[in-house]
Amino acid sequence: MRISRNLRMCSFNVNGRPPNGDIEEWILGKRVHRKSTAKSLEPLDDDLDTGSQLHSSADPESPVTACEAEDSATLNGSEDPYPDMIIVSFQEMDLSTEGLLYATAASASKGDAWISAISEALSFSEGGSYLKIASKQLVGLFMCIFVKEQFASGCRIDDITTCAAGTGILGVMANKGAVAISLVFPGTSTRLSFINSHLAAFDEMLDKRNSDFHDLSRRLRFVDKGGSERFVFESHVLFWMGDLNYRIELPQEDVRELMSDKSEHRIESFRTLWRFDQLKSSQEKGLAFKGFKEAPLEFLPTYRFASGYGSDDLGYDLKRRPAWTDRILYLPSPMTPVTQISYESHPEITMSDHKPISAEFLITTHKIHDKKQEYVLEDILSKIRDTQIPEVRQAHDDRRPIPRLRLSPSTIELGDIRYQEPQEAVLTLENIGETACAWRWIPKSMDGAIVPAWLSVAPTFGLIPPQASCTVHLVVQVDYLNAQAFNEGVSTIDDTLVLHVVGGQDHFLQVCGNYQASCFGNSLNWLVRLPCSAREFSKNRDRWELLPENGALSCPRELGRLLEWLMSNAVTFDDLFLQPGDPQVVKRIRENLDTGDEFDFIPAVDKQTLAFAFGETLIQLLESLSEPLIPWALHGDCANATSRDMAFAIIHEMTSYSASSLVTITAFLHFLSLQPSKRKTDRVNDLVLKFAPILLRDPPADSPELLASSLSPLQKRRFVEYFFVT
Amino acid sequence: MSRQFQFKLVLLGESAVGKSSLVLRFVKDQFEDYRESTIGAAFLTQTVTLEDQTTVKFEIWDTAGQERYKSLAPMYYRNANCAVVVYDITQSASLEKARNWIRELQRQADPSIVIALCGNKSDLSARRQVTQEEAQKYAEEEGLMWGETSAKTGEGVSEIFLSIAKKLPLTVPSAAAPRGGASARPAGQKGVDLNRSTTQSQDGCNC
Ligand SMILES: Nc1nc2c(ncn2[C@@H]2O[C@H](COP(=O)(O)OP(=O)(O)OP(=O)(O)O)[C@@H](O)[C@H]2O)c(=O)[nH]1
Ligand SMILES: [Mg+2]
Repeated sequence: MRISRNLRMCSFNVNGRPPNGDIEEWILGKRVHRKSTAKSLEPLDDDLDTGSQLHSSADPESPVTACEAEDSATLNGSEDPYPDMIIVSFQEMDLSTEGLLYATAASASKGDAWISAISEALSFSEGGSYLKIASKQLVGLFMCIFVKEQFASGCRIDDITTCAAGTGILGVMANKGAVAISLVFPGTSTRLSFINSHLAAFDEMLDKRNSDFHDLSRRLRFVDKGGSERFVFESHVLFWMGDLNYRIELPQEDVRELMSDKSEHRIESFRTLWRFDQLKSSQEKGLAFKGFKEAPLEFLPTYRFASGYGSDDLGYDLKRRPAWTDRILYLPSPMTPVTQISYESHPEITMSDHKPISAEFLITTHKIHDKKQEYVLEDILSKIRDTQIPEVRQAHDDRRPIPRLRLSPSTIELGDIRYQEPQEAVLTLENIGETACAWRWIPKSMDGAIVPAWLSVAPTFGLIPPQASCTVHLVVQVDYLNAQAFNEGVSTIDDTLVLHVVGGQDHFLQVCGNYQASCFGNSLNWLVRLPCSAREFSKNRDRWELLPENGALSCPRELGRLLEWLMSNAVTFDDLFLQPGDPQVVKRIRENLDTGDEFDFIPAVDKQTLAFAFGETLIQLLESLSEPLIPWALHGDCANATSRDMAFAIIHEMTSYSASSLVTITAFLHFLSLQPSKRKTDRVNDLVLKFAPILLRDPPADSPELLASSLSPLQKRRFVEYFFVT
Repeated sequence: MSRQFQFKLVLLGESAVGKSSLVLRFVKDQFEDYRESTIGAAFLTQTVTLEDQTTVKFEIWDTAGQERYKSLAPMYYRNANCAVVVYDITQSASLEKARNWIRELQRQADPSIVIALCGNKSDLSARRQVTQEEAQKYAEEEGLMWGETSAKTGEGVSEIFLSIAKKLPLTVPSAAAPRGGASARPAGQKGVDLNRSTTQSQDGCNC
């Protein structure tokens, strides 16, 4: 039988404050009508100090009995509008310094005070009364769960498990971290887990927040009575709430302006803000909270509030960018449909620098009849989890055989690896266990990639039936984006990949190769200070030293070699630089440049092919520089140069080797343009067209501050043309 | 009001006579015993101030002396205001090369170009193969400036660049004689007047 249950999540960073004022709307929702009489409830477990209840409007003289509550529930039937289960999360409940290290008596009593306040708020319910069935505290993090009394009897204590993990200072202290509670909703087979976390603070700590998420995903484990471990993701529905501390990546003024929109487009303004929310973008980029759902944010940011002079018209702290630090997300599974009913903040509560938030959900589940059905459901569930949810690892349990994989070869040795020459290796994964084996590559560190930049693997995950096998292709390629560190000997082609077997043991695969240093993919500064060829330099590091800045070459030796060859062999070819070069010949020339050996060629190659290959090599060498010959910092000025003299004034700003390399190349191009040609088009124009985007290459897309001054294609051409009129 | 001029100066001469060393001495007052031969051309700048507070900024093109770069030289001496042609006093063949450069400049370069002949490595006079008299006589015949230098000790280096600086504005035809910041470029060429923006408004009232 399908039934639905209403769950209400409440979260609040209380900034160390004790309960104060009315919180019933936050706890029970807007449905609450203030009553003249209220009741206080005896909690289910007795660690609660009912004596420390705070003053409220409750009238202790007229307690409502559990019987009355039953009646009203019966009266309303399933129509009872009050939540079936209420999960309340607090952060910063205790801010004392000793709280960073261990739970204190004071922090425990603060928890009690809040439970009393919640119990009081719950007494406003016109539906059934509530009982506390679970709580968990880790210093300032506190979570407690209340259910309608009618369900409490169906709660099996064995089904409720809790855990906690700190991610604060040194990664373990409890000023940041999470508490979690997992339970099977009474009378159903639906396993629900709730996480209350406080992630790393500050605008710039985005990466830390994301890694906190992964860290907690891994470390939070529920241990049941039998000692078997369950990861938080092994739930039908996982709710994750708390002060996640994500910020809005927009300037202060923009945030405040969008927030103060009171027009009918208000929702649009919220959408705009939400687009720049770090949590949303982290999700979109797959950096954290992958697969989690969150209702649109249609309430004002919940942080940070101040009072008096320090605050703006809306009460926000003038010194901080307002942000949606407080959030409630959930991760559904195909078997348990979830509908979100509300997601709001409670600005009327002013005791903290945060606002409390709440969200309500309807989950659809099945009433269970016997234990067997529950078992089947659990089994199906864990199968889905194992293959679909990346963070899942199943607890080793004796019901299932352990999946086992064999990797061959056990290490990947790729031999010599040269610049821009991809090397492929094949890895075979063989399922030698008795059960299907799900595997995937996982990063070695929490925030890392699964493979280094110079390596690609495909596929990245898979499922192998017993006795079957699959092949994985690994390709090593060093190109201009990553060559520099290898050429300079700062790093080597050597890395260990982690192949994760779901429910089994991880495998470690070493991938290594022997990189052959190249003059391609370097900084100009390094090239002009090389005392010999790049290869020789890397082979005999102890014999050589980089030339001092003063004694640096005027232009990279390799560029000179190419120019010299072109000058004596290629100027008569009209299409030099304008026709592509044969890749095999280019490879050969590159190798000669790298080793410093004389140029040697495949005998069958004709002069023209050779000339074009040399031209191509020169272009590729320029393109491989870590920064273009005209450094990015000067591109803004280049855009403004309107004469040859202004152009040269910019050249004066360059390092002498950049300036010299530039005038050497442009002098050659100028010289080339003056040679007799049968081309119908203007040679200067053709060469400028080809070289302008190379000499003034745009900065990489991930450096917006540099991109701001990048030139239009026309501006580039105009600037480079000034070098043809020296 | 000080006057500022900018000139393009090109260095020519056989490989290893010390062109780059002269520039390094002039620009950074340094010397190195071992220097890599220049590839293509090196580009540097240096400013000198004359007694009358006139400043002259040299845009220096230090060309490669190696034979294989010879065909690029016109790209560098085109439009040059002045050229320093260098020989090595310990190598008489290098003076022959210098003569060739001078002939080429006289034929191909701008007619108003100021040419200085420079005998470098004067510190090695014990191994001298080119006498001062021989070189000076040749320079006088061709109407060139002449001097001996040692990039190693620094002797004569700043003098040769200074005397070029002094000579340059004088070559401007009298009609276009430099007033508070007029062009110092040879006739027919657009010069760079670094004062232009500040002096234009005062032009005509301030001399
Ligand atoms: N003793 C002495 N040696 C000098 C002097 N000037 C240059 N040298 C040396 O002569 C060698 C060549 O000097 P460079 O300045 O590289 O000559 P270059 O004319 O620029 O040569 P290219 O770049 O090949 O055209 C270097 O070893 C210098 O140290 C000098 O005045 N005295
Ligand atoms: Mg040189």
